[in-house]
Amino acid sequence: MINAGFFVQNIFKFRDRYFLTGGARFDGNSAFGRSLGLQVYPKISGSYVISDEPFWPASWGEVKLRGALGWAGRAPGAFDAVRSWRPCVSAAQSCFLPGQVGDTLVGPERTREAELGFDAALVNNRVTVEATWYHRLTTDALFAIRQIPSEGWPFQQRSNVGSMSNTGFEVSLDAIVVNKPNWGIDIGGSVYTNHGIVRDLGGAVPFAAGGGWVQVGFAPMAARGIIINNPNEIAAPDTVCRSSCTADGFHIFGPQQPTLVLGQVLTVRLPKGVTLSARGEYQGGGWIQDGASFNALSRSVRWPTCSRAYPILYPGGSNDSLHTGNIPQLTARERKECVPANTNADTFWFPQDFWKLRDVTLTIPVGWAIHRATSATLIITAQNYLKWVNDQLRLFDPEMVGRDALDSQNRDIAEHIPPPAVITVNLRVAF
Amino acid sequence: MHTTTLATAATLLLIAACDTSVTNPGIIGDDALDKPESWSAVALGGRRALADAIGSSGTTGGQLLYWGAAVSFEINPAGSTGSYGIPTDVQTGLPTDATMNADWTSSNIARYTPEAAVFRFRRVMPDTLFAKSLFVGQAYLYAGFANRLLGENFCQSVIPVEIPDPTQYRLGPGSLGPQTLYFRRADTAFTNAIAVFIASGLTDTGTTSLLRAAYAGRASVRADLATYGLAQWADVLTDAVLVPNTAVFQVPYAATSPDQYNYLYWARANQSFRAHTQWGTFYENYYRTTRDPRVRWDTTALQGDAAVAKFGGRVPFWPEAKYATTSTPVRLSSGWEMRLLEAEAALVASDLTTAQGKMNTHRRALRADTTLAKTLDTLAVATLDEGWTALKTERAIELWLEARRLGDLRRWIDNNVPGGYIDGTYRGSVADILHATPLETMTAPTARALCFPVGRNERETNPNIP
Repeated sequence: MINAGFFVQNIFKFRDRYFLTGGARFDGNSAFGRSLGLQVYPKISGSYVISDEPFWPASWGEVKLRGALGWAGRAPGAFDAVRSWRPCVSAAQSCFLPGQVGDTLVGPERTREAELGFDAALVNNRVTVEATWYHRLTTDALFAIRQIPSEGWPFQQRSNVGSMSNTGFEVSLDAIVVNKPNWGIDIGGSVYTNHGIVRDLGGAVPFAAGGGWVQVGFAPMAARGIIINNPNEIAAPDTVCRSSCTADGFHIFGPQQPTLVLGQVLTVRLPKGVTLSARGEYQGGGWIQDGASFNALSRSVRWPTCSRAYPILYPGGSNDSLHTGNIPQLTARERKECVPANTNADTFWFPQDFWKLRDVTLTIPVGWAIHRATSATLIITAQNYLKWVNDQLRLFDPEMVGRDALDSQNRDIAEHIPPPAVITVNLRVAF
Repeated sequence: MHTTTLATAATLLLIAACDTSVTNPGIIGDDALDKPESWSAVALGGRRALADAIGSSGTTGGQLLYWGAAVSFEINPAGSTGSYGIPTDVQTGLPTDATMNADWTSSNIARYTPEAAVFRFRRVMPDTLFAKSLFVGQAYLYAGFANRLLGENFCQSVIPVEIPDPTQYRLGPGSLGPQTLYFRRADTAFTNAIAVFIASGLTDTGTTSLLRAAYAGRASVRADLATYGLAQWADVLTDAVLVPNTAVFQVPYAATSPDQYNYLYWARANQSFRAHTQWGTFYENYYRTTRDPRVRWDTTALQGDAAVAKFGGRVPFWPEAKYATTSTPVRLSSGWEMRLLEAEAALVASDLTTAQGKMNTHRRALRADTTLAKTLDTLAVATLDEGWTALKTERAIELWLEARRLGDLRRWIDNNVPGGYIDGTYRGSVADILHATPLETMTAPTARALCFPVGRNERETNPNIP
């Protein structure tokens, strides 16, 4: 594989308050398909330290305005353009099976990003604010596309499909609320939003990719499944999709990635250098599939979410046969989940909204207690001891996902160990 | 000091003399398969893909044999519904299109792989070699069996459209069609295989076995077509007579790695799965009373690996014993099947005497086997209706657990072929006695599927499939 490129950039400065940066990157990659050649990604950005202007009162603090517009690219995988076969064995003889179909026209995904924002340090630097609005438009988006099974190629093929956009803002604020010689209180918070939408599929039909659904007008890698409109009613499940529907009647719940992330930080500074800090985080707006519950229920494992239903379905105990005549006593959701013949992975989509106290840390200087130490600090940290999870996600930690899943475009609850509650005691000593 | 210097120099020389470069073998590109040294592996890809589709634990493996056996009561569920178990929708006899995703995919790989091999061989081989190469013949043969597997098990066909490209076998999205299209495609593939094997001029055991397999395969799909009025029974007989009683052609499995295991066996190997049983099937009593080795099962003191909802608890684990190891092959064609096709053709012609004689051919051979614990009675039929019932039962026994039963049931029921069926559940619950007639059949109290739906993954990706 050959990957080569070069990059040029220059910064123009005027009166130490106006800054303009221009540049361009040129990329070549042997993974690109035929006739793509070098790809050019220009960028331009500027900033303006408005607080350096004569008209700006010094008491307002320091403020910098900034904006940027640039293009970036993401190369396809090394062999995405190549048709390949898998080696196999049949009765001790070598054989070949279809591998990846290959896309001879695959090229880089291009993203144009525009952002506007400001950085401010106010009230004698006791309050700092960073705010950014961004808009990303991705064209020739690279998706791992499922192949048509009847064409014989089993694996997903990365190809350029249509365009999608992401819009959001990122704001963080830190403030020193109390600042006494021996103690103080600092607070901080952040807000991140992210709203993605598939704008165009270049004429292709909506498709499943990875663990998500890609359809124009909805978030990329959206959660798609069967909606139960009346989950808690003692009634037959109403699963008719009435809004946000796919052509075959499934419901598109929403994005799998959170659309709102709120961060909170509190630090209390105490006498003798002791500090106590806590950090919390809320994530909301995303949907997650509870694959672990589905797997268990589909295997007839007795499951806590059906604890109300079991005495109704099996009045004689666990060895009793299913009393189908009692099914009308169940809620709609229980009928879909707890009657084995009805269990369907498509109904196991839930909001993943949660809040977690990520950590609480106590820091105590203890140099005085250790002979000949230049300095010593005792740090005690407690992680994941407190959380709130929305009541629709009844059983599992929404971060109980597979390896790397938190960074991928889709999440699902699998049979993995949830993030453990941990207490860490750390003593750092310097001599 | 001098010695140390010499030793150091020698070591450096040795290191310098070593070739430490590493060449990444990389992926197997399409062009690499054009080389003659790859041709054997190209042809055998079809065999492996067929084994995966019938039932192995390969990456893209399916379980058509297993699901078909569960839907048609060749086995009863004994617990697990997840890994290696029988999903609840399959247990109820109505598999959903989502359940069939892997099976649809693997069956299509089994069809595509040998068909792509034929295309490749046509492109890279000299014409004179192509016409008589055993590699070509084998590719045609496995393409025939793969198309038969699809036609006998899936409700509809999706045949991709070939996009002309002299350099590569390229396909475009196909559309839904009747399953008989697969039979026609199989007929053509078997016909081509026969032509190639004959043109090879070889008469060794291996080639003869391949040729007989092609005749037997063509006879079987022509029987499928003939039941629908799309072929002649005379053509079935022309092929069947060329396959001697003891001819057998099988698709292999291997114990060397789990991805090559016989899936049906592994699901009941008690390591740790005990997912299916003969308890409550027709074969429970039939084998107990006849010891017919074609439907052998084992008694154990164990129970299945979980409660079975429809039976109200855990059931005895009496697993089939046709597949007794991870490497037991699955039969694709045989001379004994040909005798039953001859019997079926005779019934179509209302020739009861010939039909009875053909049906008893294998039974007489088994009666002559003194190693068997019991002897089998020969069949005696007095009416055509009895003849058809006996034929349907005999095919159930002869082709037991070979991914063939659903195809038989569908073609007979679709075409109102006379005679009765033994397929069903003969016990209602854990404590129930074994009944003489089935409590649940393919049609009552609720109709079970006679074929599998096209996988949902096809509907989600193919713009031509609604």
